[in-house]
Amino acid sequence: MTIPNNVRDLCKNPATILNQYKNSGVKVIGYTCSYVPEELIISAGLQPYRITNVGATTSALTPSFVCPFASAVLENMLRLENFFSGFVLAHTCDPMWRLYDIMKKKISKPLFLLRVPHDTENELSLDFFRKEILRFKEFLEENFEVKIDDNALFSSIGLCNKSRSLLKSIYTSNSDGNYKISAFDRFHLVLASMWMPKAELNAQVKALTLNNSETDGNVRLHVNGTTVYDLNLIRAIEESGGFVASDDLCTGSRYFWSNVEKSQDPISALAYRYLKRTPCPSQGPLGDRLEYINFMVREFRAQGVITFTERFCDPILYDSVHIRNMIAKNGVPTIVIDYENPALEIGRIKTRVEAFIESIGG
Amino acid sequence: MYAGIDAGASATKAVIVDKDSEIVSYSIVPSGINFKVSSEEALKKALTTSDLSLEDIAYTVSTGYGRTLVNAKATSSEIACISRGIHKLFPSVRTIIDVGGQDSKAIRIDVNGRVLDFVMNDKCAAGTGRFLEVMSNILGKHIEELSKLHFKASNPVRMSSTCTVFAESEVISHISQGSEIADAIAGLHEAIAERIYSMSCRIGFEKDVALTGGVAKNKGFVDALSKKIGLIPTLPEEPQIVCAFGAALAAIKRHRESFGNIT
Amino acid sequence: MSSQREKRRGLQTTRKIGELIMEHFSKALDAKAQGKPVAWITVFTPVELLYSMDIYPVAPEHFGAMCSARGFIMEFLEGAEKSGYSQSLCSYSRCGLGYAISGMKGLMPPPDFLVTFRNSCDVYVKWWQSLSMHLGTPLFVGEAPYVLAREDLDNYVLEYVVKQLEQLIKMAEEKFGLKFDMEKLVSAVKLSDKASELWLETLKLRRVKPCPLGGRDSASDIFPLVVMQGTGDAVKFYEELLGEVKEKVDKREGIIENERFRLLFDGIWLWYAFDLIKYFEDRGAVFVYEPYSEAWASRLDASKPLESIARKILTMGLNIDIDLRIERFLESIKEFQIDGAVLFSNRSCKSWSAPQLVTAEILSEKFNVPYLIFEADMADPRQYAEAQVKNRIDAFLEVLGES
Repeated sequence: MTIPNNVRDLCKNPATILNQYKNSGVKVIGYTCSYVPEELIISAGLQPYRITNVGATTSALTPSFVCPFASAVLENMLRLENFFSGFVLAHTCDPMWRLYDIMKKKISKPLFLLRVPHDTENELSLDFFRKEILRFKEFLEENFEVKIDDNALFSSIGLCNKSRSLLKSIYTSNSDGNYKISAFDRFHLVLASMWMPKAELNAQVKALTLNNSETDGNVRLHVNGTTVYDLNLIRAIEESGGFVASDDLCTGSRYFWSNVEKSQDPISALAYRYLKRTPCPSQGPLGDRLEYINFMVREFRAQGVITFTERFCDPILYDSVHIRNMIAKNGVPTIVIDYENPALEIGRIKTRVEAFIESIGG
Repeated sequence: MYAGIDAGASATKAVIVDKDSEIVSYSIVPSGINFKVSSEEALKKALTTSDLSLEDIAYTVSTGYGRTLVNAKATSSEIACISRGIHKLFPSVRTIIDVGGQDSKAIRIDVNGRVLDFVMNDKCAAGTGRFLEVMSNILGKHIEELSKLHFKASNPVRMSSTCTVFAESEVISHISQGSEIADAIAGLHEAIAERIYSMSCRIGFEKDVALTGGVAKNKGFVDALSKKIGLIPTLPEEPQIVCAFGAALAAIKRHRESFGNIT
Repeated sequence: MSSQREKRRGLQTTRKIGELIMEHFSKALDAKAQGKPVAWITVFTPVELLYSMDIYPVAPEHFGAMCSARGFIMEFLEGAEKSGYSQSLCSYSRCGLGYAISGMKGLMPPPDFLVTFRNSCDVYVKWWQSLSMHLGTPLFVGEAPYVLAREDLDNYVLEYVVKQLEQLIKMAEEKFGLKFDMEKLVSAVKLSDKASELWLETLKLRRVKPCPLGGRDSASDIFPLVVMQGTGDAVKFYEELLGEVKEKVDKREGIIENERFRLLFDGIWLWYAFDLIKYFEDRGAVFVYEPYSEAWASRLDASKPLESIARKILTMGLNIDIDLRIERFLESIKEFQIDGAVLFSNRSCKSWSAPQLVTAEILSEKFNVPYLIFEADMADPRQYAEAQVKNRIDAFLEVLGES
């Protein structure tokens, strides 16, 4: 058992840590998307906490055909409002954008919408995004009576960079084919870093001893998608004879793959890193994203690509046609597995995962 | 001898094959609520039919919804079993549409019977045997009669509901307004064919196309689906056991592999 | 009495729309034949700019609406679905993609340029990316950030959009060997502004009882402001339309004689089910205001053409803060003496539908406006449960009758 118990427990029920924060007087800012610079929140002396869909069913406030993940995130924000001092949403896809509209009418806590440009390669976008981050800084300063200076920013950048590097080091230890940690355990650490104080998690990751996992010789897979908070999905793959060799999930590699570069101007450095990082289904040119998936598949020698997605996730559903076409050209099979509530549908998800892995393994 | 057991949500099927992959006997029993019981029953029935006993079976592979509850040496996915089974019976098939009691699937396979792509519907009753079961109850007909009545239709009713529950009230309303039962049945077959067609579009219809699963025994449905796809699909003699047959073939393979280095 | 009922409801001028649509596509095909660039645009992309550079714009969203209304959308929907596009995706996009994949041998010529500004929804970007991937056509993705407050129409948000317009101009010049002409743009802007002015004036006349212009008319009458704004033909149409509507007002002629209920319709129309509007009208209910109809008109300042075009892109209905949208709703309720609201929860448009319930709650709880919400799709006829929807309408009208 590589993973510390507190990390395992936290991933089973991420809301529990909110109690601890409340009791110890830590002010928590809830955010939904990996485009939100956590560094800014930390520099303001606040604790960032990534809102999940865990523990909530879909909200009655959204229609049935709106992404169930966004709806459950909304439900969580509303029912857990008292544990937060404020919320930061990002305009990435339609439902997450409209969550801002709904929240604005439903809660009284400070609320911010970070407008993320869709063409991440346009130099005008970088300039705009930089101004958005400045606006975010002003929002934090005004609402929490704090002054965020460059030193505070450099310090939090250093902390987050450290965290990202540690997570990446565990991940890449597998690329030589020597699996030192199962994907199931690996994802625990990534998720925990979105809820725990970074310094604490960094220490726990550093102290890990990685031993060979039992998933040697399994069918290597690349997992594509947006957010996966229910790790039973990962376990389903590993129990069916598969191994998650690589991923480009929002709650996976895309969260930590690149660091903030050294720069005179921390705001510009943050804007650059957050806008230009690994392409996301919602933002950035499609061609770049396909190339990136191709690169991951080659680099980590994946034999198949599984896309996990919420039902009604438009960005993934448009992309998956092209992913399938492109990857089929390289002879790598793909499958899209969609669900509304993975916990309730794990049976049918496993059926598909098994069938897919079997069709590759022969 | 080798056995394949398909523990489906509605029916459990057992197929016994010899070492040359020839079907020796088979059986179909209702699944009920206990797969352990129904799978034992199915196997026993198949054994009795061919005068065999349990000791004659060298290896058993299970598949289907209740596969983990069956007493078997290994499991295999339905997708793989259906593909294997059809490829053995009809090597020219490239697309398989399987319509079972509670789910439906479309599978594309290559020249060697390997699965290239597949799509499933196991959330919605409207594209499954359950839909017809519900409707036949309302109309007071046995499932077997649906087939015959389909061909008596002169003016199939056009169903607008995509949901089984709403379709129920729609059918009742049509009949009460004077529609012929045959026309209602033909309309229902068209409705379920439409659902299956829609689902299968993503896979495409590369020839030859085969139809498997219990619902493929309903010639009325086959007629409606053929019209939708625009071609007549290949029909196995007993479409409901193809999956279990594929599991039995897997049993041969696994048994050989387990002896791999020892001979 | 009976002869009056048999008389076709609706405006004469509206009947010209069919012809205008055919002319529009005919011109597009001509442009293609002459080697001039054709651009596929998402709506609220500045066609004034494109016309001024001799680039001919067509809007696949309009194409989808038209195919749905004329009954030949299924072929394109199925084509897209066969290629792997999920049925849950926007039906306009499935139609456009199905059409693109099928070889584009119909009314809409293949694009030389794909231009979108992300204002209505994020799906615009994904859809245009998919088209570019299938066709290999050069793509321009513009960003129109969500307007959070009125300041955004004067600050770095506006600047960002203006600069992107300059990028678009440069890209068009480089790719197609064209030359941007400010004078031509100013002419187009003046014409576009005039068309908007006329349409807004026309819409104001719907305040009158009985309402002279109903849903069936407004659904078609918007066309010249969807893809012809900046042309003289658009102005001509609206001049004629305004003239006819003024006449109706003078004669006190409404869409229906016995106006029992004046309603607001929130959403895009069900293009394959115009009989739904008739269903309301047969029961004395007339649509007097739609945010959708109003959205196409936007006043432009020809002395600041790029800036005002940028503001137009930013302020399209769905792209402004919810409080600003609700403000307009409430104004309209007073202005048009609205008795109730019908909200169409459109499966294709999550951007519109996602916050609708919250808006409806506010209408009802704070302002006592009864509302009806029903779910269907704007262009995909398979996602419409006619009987159930009509049931709900009956119940709603009954409630209105009692209040």
